Amino acid sequence: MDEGVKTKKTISAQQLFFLILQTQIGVGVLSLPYSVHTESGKDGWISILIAGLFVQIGIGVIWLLSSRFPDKTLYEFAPLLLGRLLGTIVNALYIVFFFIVAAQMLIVFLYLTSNWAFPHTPHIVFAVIVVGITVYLIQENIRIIARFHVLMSFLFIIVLILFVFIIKHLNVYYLLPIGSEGAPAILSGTKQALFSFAGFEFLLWLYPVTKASSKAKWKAAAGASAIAAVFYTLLSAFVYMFFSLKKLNHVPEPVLYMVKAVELKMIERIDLLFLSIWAIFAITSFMSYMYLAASGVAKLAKAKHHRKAVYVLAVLILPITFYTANPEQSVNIYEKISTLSTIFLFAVPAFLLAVAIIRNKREEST
Amino acid sequence: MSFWRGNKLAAFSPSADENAKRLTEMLGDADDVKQRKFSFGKTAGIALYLVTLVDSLRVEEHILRPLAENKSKNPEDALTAIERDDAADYEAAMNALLIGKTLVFFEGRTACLICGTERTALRTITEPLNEKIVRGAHDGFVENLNTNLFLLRKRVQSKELVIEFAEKGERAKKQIAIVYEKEIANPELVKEIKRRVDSINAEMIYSAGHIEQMIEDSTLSPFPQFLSTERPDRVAANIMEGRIAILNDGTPTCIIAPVNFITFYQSPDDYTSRPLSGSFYRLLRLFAFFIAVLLPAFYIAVTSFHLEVVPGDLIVQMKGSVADIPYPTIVEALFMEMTIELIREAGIRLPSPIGQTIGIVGGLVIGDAVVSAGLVSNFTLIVVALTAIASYVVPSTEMNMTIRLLRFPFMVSASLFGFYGLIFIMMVIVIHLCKLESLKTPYFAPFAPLRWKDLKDTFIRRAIWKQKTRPTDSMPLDETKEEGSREWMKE
Amino acid sequence: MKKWWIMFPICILLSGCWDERPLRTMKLIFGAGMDMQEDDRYSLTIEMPIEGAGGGSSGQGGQGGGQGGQAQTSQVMSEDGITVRDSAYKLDRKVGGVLDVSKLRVLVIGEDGAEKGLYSFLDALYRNASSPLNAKIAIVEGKAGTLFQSEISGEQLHSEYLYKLIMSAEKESMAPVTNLQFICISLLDNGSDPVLPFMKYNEKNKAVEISGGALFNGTKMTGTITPDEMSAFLLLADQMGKELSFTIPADEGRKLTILIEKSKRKMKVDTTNKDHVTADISLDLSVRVLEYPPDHLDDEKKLNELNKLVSDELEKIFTQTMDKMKMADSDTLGFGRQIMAKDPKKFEKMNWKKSYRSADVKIRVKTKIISGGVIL
Repeated sequence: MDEGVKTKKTISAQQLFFLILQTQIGVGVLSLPYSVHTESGKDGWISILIAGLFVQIGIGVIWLLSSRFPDKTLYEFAPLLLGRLLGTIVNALYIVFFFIVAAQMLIVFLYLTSNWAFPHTPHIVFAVIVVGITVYLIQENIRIIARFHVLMSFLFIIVLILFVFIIKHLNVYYLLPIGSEGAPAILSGTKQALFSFAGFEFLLWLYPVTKASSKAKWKAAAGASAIAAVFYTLLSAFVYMFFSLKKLNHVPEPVLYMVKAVELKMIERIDLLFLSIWAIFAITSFMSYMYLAASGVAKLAKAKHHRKAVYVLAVLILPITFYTANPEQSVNIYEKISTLSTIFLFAVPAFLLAVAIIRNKREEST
Repeated sequence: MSFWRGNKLAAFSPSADENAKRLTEMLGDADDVKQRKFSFGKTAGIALYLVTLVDSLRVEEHILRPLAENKSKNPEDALTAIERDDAADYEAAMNALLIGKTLVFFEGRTACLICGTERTALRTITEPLNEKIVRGAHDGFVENLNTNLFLLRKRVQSKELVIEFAEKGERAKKQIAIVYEKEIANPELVKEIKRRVDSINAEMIYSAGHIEQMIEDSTLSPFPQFLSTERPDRVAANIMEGRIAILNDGTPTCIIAPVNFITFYQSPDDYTSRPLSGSFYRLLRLFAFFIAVLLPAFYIAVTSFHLEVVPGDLIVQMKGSVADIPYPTIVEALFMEMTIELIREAGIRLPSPIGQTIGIVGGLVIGDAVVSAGLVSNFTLIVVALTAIASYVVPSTEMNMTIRLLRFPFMVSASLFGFYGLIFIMMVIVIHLCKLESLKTPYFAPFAPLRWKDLKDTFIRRAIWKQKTRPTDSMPLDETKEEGSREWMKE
Repeated sequence: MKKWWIMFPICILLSGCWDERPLRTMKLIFGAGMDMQEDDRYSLTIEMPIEGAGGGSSGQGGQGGGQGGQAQTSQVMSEDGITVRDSAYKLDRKVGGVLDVSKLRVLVIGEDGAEKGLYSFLDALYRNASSPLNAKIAIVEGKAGTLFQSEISGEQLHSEYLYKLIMSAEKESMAPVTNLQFICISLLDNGSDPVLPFMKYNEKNKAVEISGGALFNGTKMTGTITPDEMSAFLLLADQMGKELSFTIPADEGRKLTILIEKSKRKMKVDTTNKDHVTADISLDLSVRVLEYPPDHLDDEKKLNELNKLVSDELEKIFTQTMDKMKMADSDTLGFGRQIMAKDPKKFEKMNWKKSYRSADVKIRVKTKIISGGVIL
């Protein structure tokens, strides 16, 4: 009913929780255990757990920053903190970052889809469909997006049930002795894992639109990341307990490969079901990033609504996806974005927080 | 308004003749306009009415005979018609005439007396055929608005029940009644619905479906945003949840808003039966929803893309049944779906004994023949039949149509992209449901936005005394439904 | 003009479905046998069920029983090529329809081939996203190809028969519970080795029998064990199925058949010794006597005697099994994995495969007879 007024405080803490969770759990689910294992071997799960702890720090920083500007998103308060020019540049960089992350997600989605289920369908078909669905959702306001993300989160239950069937095939000895890979290897694995937690920075934009106490917002964001961390850790621990290290070298998408072993009476080959659920997770993350980028573009262009920005970005992302849609390139891009992400997820918010503290900028909630 | 000659707001003439003549003219000298002259002592007068609309006996008994018998001093006192009124102008008089009242003019008086003499051709109150239930009340609305309101008032005997009338239709007026519980229904919503009803500018209101299309939020959506029902108990229950009912004269259907998706799955039977069985059948219905929408698509996806998911013991039978069919599964399935839709449509139109025959001929004979001719496989037939049955489980005709429509995009998409096709269409539909609003309240309510508290009456139905609060999607003023019904337990 | 977007779905509809694999045009492989020939060429034998008359002719069939299209007969084909995939393509050229491996239920590999290395047979399957990793796998005495061509009385579909055979063997603890997926993991694990069911064709009964297990060293088959030894191995590896029976010679030439109800295994690998590894395995078994013609089982003394007898005999079988596995260099119990978990550096230093033979494995068995059936 309060739609008419320039929307503020439209989502609940619960929706905040699920929005961040859905954004964090995305394309990475299938290959995270593998990519971490290349660095830290069978102790990859520790790397992921540590990455989850780092993310908690990142959330703390973002929360402190956002609670100084309870009515403003980063796009709005960055110019206040850094001056108009520098603020706009930071905003533009964020937009580009989000856009690239979205594009990378789409690339990974298309690549895995064609690899696992639809080898002959041209990439463009799925790309256009996914972008189309995304546009259909994200042209609406954040409240509708939140509703959708909350609903889709219930698919987690199916994923967890699938894991129950795997438990009996696990071999704990594959994990032992814990920590034998050494601290440097584990930490370098952590660096690999950090990127899969990307999504918590959404808090910078959701903080002002969430209707809850400041503490509740922190709880929601931290809780979502904690759940994501536990989920990823469990997932990778399962994978490392299922495959021996030597075998793991052969399977870049170990999660799907693992699920293949599950056999139910009613239905066989659960990996196909799992792939479909993963597709939903991947698309929801993609939606979140497209929304962030689009709302940034709208802010830069001083548009009233982000709808047009969505259309523009949707048209732009398709050629970018095709230009880079081969596996070698996408691995390359992944590495680069991984590094970039640490800057945008941790360094920039920390820097902004420092500036805010030094310049003593603070606003009260209206 | 060109037929409306003369000044409709003009005062009545002292001459009864002229008044009568003028009104007759206004009705285009219609042949069913009847003038009856009478004299009451010295005063002469004319009774004017439409033969086709009045109960002639009542005109005779209560107007003409008392006047002729000439017993009292005053002509007005002589009349024994129960309902009497004075018309202010020609328009009022005309409107009264058109709903079956009799106008009485006395010579030398510039006034018009309206007497209620309407003929009421009422259908008896029976249980609506399309919404049968096992336990609970068996009455249903009829075509007459007053009867329907009587049924409602009788059911909700509360001083807070508000009935507001609106007359709509530019050429032919029809009464519309807006009914709500004023201490529960949100005044914002009442205001909104009145605003929308006010803006109706149609020539004539034909049915409830008409009103619905003019005031619903999204006309292109496949999902109904108003609950249509012919059951007074269902309307009463919804009114008590803070929803607003709209009834109109001439149709037995009442439309209710704001509603959400799950409302269409709630049958009065759920509440009259025990909580366990009520919950079971609610779950069954929701399960039927998924079968009706997804099963054929899933089957198509499996047979044309993901044959891996079929268990090894079943695949031989399945392959055997599909092997000799010349067409792709999607063609088979669409063919059978169309056949079933045809049978349904034909069954409705034909008189009921023949309708049943068509059902048997269609279902058994065609089904068997089509399989033995090798056009359609056994499995497809099973899937389609199961789907058809499942789609009829929903206790709402509108939702039933929606479900039957929804499965076609699913089927086509599944035939193109297998499971991914299912996922894509599912996402689009869920997004649509998230966007959709019924009277500005979220349509997919207890699920999106998720309200844990309101889930108590969705998948399952908790015991009545456990449902202490009203669902919040209708934004009721008073959320408490009941408190401490089972206090006796504590003693 | 506003409806321009309609063009898009129409385009998709017209362009067709790229990845469609219609069931009706598929030739499903249910069973496959693989052999290595003398010239190192791979020969592949496949079995496809031929569906009984489906919908079309069932109406005219007359007999109601024939409806639904049960598998009637099967079609067996064989071809050889340089790789497994190569022979598969050659087969595909001969078959009317598209060969599809995704419903494979049983894969049988010939003894000779397995001795030369199992992984090269399976690699093609592991690389294919749609291959069924839950198919059963077994090693056969002689050629796998001939198994599919030989007659089996009462059964038409060999693969179905073999599948059921292996399934019931798993249940009765005559074969380890395994499939393509699990076998792959232990094939590629340098800390443990797989055991596969070993079967042979029985000319007299025209049937296939499970004749124990095949032992592997790495990916190469190095020995076999008898059915009794297989059961012993399953107990040692703590992989007992639903039930497990042994027949033991008792005193004075009498025989005793027992059924193991419950088994508790404890395994300890000691790596503190510098030059060799010692392992302790203790088994706690609850036993039910199925058949013991001579005596009643109500006497306490008698029962104790029997208990001792059973545990002694079992210990003998266990030790014998262990020795066989050592001789085959097959670390089926995964001692290596345990050493790795405890002391990875030591494992790297030592040549485990060599020292496995000299490993000192102590097996202790404790049995308890809990029931003698419905009679005393």
